[in-house]
Amino acid sequence: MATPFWALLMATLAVAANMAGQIMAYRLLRAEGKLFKSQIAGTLLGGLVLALLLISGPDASLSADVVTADALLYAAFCYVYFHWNNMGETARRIRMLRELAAAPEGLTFEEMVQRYSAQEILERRLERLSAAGQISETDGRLVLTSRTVLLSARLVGLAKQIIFGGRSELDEHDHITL
Amino acid sequence: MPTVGLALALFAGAFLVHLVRWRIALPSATARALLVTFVFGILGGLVFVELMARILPGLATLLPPEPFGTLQALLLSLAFAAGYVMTYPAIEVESPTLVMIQAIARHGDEGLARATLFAQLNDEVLVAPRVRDLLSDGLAVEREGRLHLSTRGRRLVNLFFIWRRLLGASAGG
Repeated sequence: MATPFWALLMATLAVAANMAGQIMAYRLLRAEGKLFKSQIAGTLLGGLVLALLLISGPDASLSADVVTADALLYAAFCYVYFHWNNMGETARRIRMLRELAAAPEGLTFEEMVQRYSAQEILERRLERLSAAGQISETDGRLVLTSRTVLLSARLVGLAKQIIFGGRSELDEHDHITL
Repeated sequence: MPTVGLALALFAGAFLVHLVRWRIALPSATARALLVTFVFGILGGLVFVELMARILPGLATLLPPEPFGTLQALLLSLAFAAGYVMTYPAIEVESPTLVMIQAIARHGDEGLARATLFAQLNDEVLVAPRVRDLLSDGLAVEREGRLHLSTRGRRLVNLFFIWRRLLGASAGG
């Protein structure tokens, strides 16, 4: 059998182990931030399965190219899966779709806002950033305490510059001076 | 590294098509346009490379020697594309988290007043554009001033319902 066939099978098994591991970890964990922790657990389990299969699998003659491709395939899956999980947790569009699903007669814009307002969006995110040690609040003023998320923001800004030439949807709102 | 090299080349080709197309004019239904651009860009790129390899025999030596190798390269380039497609919404729309972090950082040690943040990032800024996205991406439809789930929107939300039920998770959002 061709060697890349085994490599594809191994990557598939690693992906399955990752998903099973994450689901089990999520169900077992009770602590705060269990989504992130369960994702780490799933990623490690899948990675371990992939490494074991590559070392002791049915075809020991896999080339460095095929092994690298397998590792990258698994890493790309982990990245997509991480985003998938976070979309279900935090994405505004998904939350709005859920609100519409729960309203068979439909919703007006005002009703949508009542169910999911900018205030709620901000409150939830400030809470998460504060719990993650990214910001602190004293006397109603918010201060940055870690630069990790800021680095992500700058990278996204760079990508925005490349793809959209720096255009931002906030440009449409003159009142924003943040 | 023929497999990894081919995967990177296919992804890079499709990304270039995406970049040129987006710079010329931003598509209205970006999610669908992005998927179509990458899937057809990568498949088209593979057909192009295979045809070129027949014309230029030297090129064939740079490609995976087995069909499963080509399949692995194809899957890898699609996986890169999937990673980019998942990242894209954070680039296209303003993430409230990232906007807040940048605003807070700009105010340094004196900090940003919570009231200012809430006054400026209002429903018109954070909610209305996402409602418009639901309509332009065909996930929702508007009838007599009311928003309803479209068939595509229902399929997507059902997928998340099933997924979160499997996890034993709450509603989220």
